[in-house]
Amino acid sequence: MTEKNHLDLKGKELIILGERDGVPAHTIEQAVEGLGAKVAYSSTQCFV
Amino acid sequence: MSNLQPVIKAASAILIHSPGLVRYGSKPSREIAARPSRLQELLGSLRTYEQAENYLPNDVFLGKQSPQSLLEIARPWFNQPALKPNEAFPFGELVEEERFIALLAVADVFKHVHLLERFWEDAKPRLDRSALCRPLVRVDPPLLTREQLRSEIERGAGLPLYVGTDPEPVGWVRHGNAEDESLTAHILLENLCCKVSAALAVREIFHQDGNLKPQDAHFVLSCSEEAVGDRYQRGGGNLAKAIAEFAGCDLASGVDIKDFCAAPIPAMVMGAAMVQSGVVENVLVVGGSSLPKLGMKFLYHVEKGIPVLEDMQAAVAVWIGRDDGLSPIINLASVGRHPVRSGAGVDQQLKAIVVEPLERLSLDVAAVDKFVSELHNPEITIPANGGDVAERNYRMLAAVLASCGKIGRGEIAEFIRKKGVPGYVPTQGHIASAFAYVPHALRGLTQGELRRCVLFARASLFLGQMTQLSDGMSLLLERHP
Amino acid sequence: MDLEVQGRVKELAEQYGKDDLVVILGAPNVDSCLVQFETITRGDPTYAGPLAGIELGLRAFHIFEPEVKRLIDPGRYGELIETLELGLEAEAIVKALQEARGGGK
Repeated sequence: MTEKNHLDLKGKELIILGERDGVPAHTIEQAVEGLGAKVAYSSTQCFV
Repeated sequence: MSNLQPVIKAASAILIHSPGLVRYGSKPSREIAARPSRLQELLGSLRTYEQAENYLPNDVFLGKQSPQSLLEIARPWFNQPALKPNEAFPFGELVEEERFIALLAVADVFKHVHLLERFWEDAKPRLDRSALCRPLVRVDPPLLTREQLRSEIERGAGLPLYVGTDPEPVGWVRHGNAEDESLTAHILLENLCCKVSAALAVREIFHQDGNLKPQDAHFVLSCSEEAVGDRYQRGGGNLAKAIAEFAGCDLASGVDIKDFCAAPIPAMVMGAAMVQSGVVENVLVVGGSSLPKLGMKFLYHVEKGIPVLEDMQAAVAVWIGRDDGLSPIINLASVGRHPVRSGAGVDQQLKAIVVEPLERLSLDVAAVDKFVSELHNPEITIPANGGDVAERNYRMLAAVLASCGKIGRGEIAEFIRKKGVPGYVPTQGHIASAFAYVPHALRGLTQGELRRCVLFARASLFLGQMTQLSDGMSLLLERHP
Repeated sequence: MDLEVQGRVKELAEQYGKDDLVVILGAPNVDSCLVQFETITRGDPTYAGPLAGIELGLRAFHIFEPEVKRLIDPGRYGELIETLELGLEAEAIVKALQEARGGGK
């Protein structure tokens, strides 16, 4: 399979683009905690 | 001791068609500053007053049509003929820009807003003929000749005011203080728009119900989106008192309640608590309009060849008083809060503010007729890739209710259809957050079939960059037994 | 996509390079998701922001996509994300992103 199926977040810098009505950045941060990645930038957009 | 149970005695809604002010919305003003040709694109896509007046979502906002009608009439709504062209709006008025701009000058006690003499000569008789506006006009505003106005604009220390697409300016807002960023002409204009629209919503309550008098309003809670203050206290506040003064509520004091778009719900909770605790007998909860949100999605609308639909400012006022044996009850035992540990996810938020109160009150989903939340007009948000906000909220609420076993997984579509309300409200944040529905709820819970409505609202606290959290609050309205 | 966010993404791409960066999206619908994906891979489609005409080619996934989901402890995923997935057009988002990656059809 292609490399994308072997995504590994260890040592990666993350850009988290959350949305209020979807998954907010805060929730994504909680979900990926402990996977070895650092959060370089995290932001939640509000559409209205 | 009399019965202190808080009830909703009246609710009003005001729309202001303000195409000439769209350029001063946050997005348009940034875009025009970056690329001045954007102004012509914007002006070429604005609606006339008649188009705004015939627009189905505006009819629903002002009570001429039921929210249900939005499900019966297919979009696009913006190019359809009026359904009931000669009927009045039961909940309030659709105010045209001339009267509104004249009122901005009348409401400005610091005399920063100046009007062109000829404009005031035309506007004054309109205000005098309007039963809604006449009581607000107690002073004449400062006036300028055309030459004086031109020289003010050339000096550049403020903002010119326009009506619709007319290139001739009709007024001028001066900066409040050259060294205070909190008192620029732009900010004063935002705050004045909010003050005037809120006062119109308050006056509409007296206009509708002769039994409710300005001197009986004891406290005003403003849940508007403005920040009134100065350089030492940017959000210093108390627009509520300024609204009370302008609306002629001489015996009222007030305060502002802030919670981003959710503010109307905590304001109603606090107002009802003040009544129930006997602090005061009557509280007015009022949300004035948001100038910054005009034209928020205009680039998408222009690109897609549809009118700029965010040309409406909106305001709502609700009178909370003591039990009169008739009016719908605000059930303070029902209040749902969103604690810190619920995080930012909308599912956890809805569990906290909708599911938990239902469980606390031992109420089934079937016992609630309508769950009311963010009723943004989808015709505004879909072209801007934002989807249908109201529908998405209901889909999520249904998923949460299903995951908590309150409805079956197969009942999600039926829940959305039966218990939801379709979106129709201009993208004026707090007004769209269940608050605009209160006049409909009042009608439904007295003359109609409704027994119980849950109002809930959500606040994007992370936008202020002090926390990644959101907030939310809910409240149950019940038919009087 | 918000111009401030575009600016920050561009800065970070310059700072870390695309191999060390992964973008995780949380958009609620297909349209919004595709605009974000396109902006951070092929450039701002509205030509308004700092990423106009800039093909960053960043690796980007929605949190609902299996590539990300399989990395997260199922209990934690269930607690934080599953209800959101149920309430949003998750399948359509996953499919749209797969198609967008498959050559921008």
